Amino acid sequence: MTGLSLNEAAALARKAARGAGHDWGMAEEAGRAVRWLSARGLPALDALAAMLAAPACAPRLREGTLDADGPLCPIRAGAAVSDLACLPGFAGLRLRQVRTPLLALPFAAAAARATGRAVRLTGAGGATTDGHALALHGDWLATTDLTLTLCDITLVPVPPIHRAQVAPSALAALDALAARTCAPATETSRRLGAGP
Amino acid sequence: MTLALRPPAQVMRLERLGALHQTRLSFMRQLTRRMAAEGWRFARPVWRIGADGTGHAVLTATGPARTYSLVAFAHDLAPEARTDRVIAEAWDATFALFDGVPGEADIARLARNVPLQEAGRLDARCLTLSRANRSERAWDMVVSALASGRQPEAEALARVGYLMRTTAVYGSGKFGAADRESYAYRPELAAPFQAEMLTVYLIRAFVRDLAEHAARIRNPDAPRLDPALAETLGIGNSTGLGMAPFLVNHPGLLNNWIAARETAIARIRALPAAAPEARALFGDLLARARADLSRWTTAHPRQAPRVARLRRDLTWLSRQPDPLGGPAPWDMLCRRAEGLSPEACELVHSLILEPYPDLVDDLAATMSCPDDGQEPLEGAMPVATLRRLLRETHGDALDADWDAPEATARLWYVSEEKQEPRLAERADEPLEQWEQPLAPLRDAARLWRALSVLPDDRPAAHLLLDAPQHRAAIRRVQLAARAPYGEIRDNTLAAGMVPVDMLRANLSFFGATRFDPRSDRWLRICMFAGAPYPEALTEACADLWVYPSAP
Repeated sequence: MTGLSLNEAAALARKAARGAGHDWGMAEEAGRAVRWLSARGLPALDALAAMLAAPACAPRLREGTLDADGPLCPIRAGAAVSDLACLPGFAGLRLRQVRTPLLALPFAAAAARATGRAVRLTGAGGATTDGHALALHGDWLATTDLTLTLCDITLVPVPPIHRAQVAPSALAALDALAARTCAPATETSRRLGAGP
Repeated sequence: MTLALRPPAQVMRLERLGALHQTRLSFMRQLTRRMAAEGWRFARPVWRIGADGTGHAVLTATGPARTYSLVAFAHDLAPEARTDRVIAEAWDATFALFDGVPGEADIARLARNVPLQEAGRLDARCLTLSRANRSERAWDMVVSALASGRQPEAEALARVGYLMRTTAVYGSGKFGAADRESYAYRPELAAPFQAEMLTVYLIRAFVRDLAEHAARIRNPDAPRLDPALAETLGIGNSTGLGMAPFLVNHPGLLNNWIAARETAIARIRALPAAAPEARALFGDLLARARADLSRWTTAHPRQAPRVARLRRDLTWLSRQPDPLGGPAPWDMLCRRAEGLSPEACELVHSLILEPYPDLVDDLAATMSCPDDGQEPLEGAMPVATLRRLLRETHGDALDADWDAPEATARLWYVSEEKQEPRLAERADEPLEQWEQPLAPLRDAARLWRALSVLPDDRPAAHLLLDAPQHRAAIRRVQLAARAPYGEIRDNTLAAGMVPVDMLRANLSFFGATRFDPRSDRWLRICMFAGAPYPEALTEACADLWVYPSAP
């Protein structure tokens, strides 16, 4: 395992998500999500590497459900969750076939901060966040279909962890994706583009 | 009188940002004031620099609760390897700021990594990483003079202004160093860039000691550098495009910097009268600022005439009979200054803050931004509100012809080779697939166009399900409504955009002086010139050192 600073982890996630084809705004969400999860000791970079390794779909919103014709992208679906937080119908929102749902949790936390209420995502396992702390229950990693509810509990705050651990294979995969955001050097760019 | 802040549409233009000067809120001055007020103690417990000029040293700075240590490695670089490039691979000296006092094992670990800079790896005990190269001219001047038993010639030395210049000073988690959030709760590091500024402050002391050491190698009886001469020397710095994205990527933080300065200015302009002591101090500092201009040398075709004009403007101002007579004198002075060049206008706005620490210095506590980058997106906001915010923030610029080639003539990208931001001509190089998101105004205009076909009551959340590419622009315009000084009100892709303006704005908040652009995209500056060295730091000299004594 390699330990990165949270800034490095967020920057790597942002670049890797962009390198994998997300637009910059969504790539920034990936960076924020990885920072939030890593500060809570969760393997966010490993999850991101797994998520980006295979295609995932953008969500549609139909009758209170975020779904797609294939596995749902947890960053895009998560962003929709936090965006919908203050609109009618938020409580009871369902998410179908979420890939690596761990990555959707920071967005549930953002929704909790926006609504002032704790957010619970329940499937085979469950996750509850008051916007700051996070509690995971049951078989969370195997859960892909989720239902969102609001509740009024306060979790015990845990001090943040200022290091993000990542497995070597995940780090290599993310580095490779991140490298795609850099342009190959040309003579013109060497000559004209740079400062000192 | 009310506190009317200058509007963002006036302040947040590149032309104006590129004319900002340091103030008493600058991060260097916050640092020296705090260290003096809290009676920080300084020591040099380790000095293992050999007769060949290489080795390492440790300089410590101890505040009320903690000690920080500059671990410095001297390398004595061959002249042909010395360069200003941030992408160099060897330096005269390399540094890390260590959290606490390093033991032998810590120093051994740092010795394996710090000299490698970007290619090394730090850990959470390190707050910053930096490196510096000699100014060969100033270094030889000082070392040769001392080695021959005399002091260097003051005027010649002042023309260079420093013995070494740094390129990057990395902090905030770079290369494995500690994240800012992990130490931002400490009062001494709560203000922005305090760890970085402390690093440079200690580097300056180390570099002076190293020059004296080099002279003593040649002549064991070499005198120390005259403290008055040493004090005039700062640490140089070369800053390039790598810093330009910072302002764009930290709108909340930028807002807090500019808002603090503008609030301070508004408070002083609102004063109905100026006490005689305040007027006298202003007059004194105006004279000293003019004296400092004689040391601001630049040959840059855009900046040199600006400095010349600044000299003329300040001379004119200093000849005005009783410029602070009459009611609301500071406001009247600022109104006059608006008729001068942007350089002079902003210098006057900086100077009026000096007599009023009681009205200004509390704003220092508002200049960090704990939520930086974590600001929420309001998904319930309807399209009509987004349109209004876009118009309020960007005004007529939304209606410009964004399809015209000159509107997006430039393109920001990062090169694979050195991982550094670069700027290209869009038409000349096929780089669009690697374009960096550093054009908030262009993106706002794209959002504006997309909104024009949508119903007023459509919430942002629904819009973003279909058009995620507008996410960053929506987030930014919502933030701009809360943090209006966070957004540059100019096109960062325009054909005539000068990146150095962005760098200057950033560096002025650090407290840098003597901006010397070397092209439109990099510049040299001076840091801590005039500041007391650690052993001489007292409350009496901790603040106004940035203004040299008038001749």
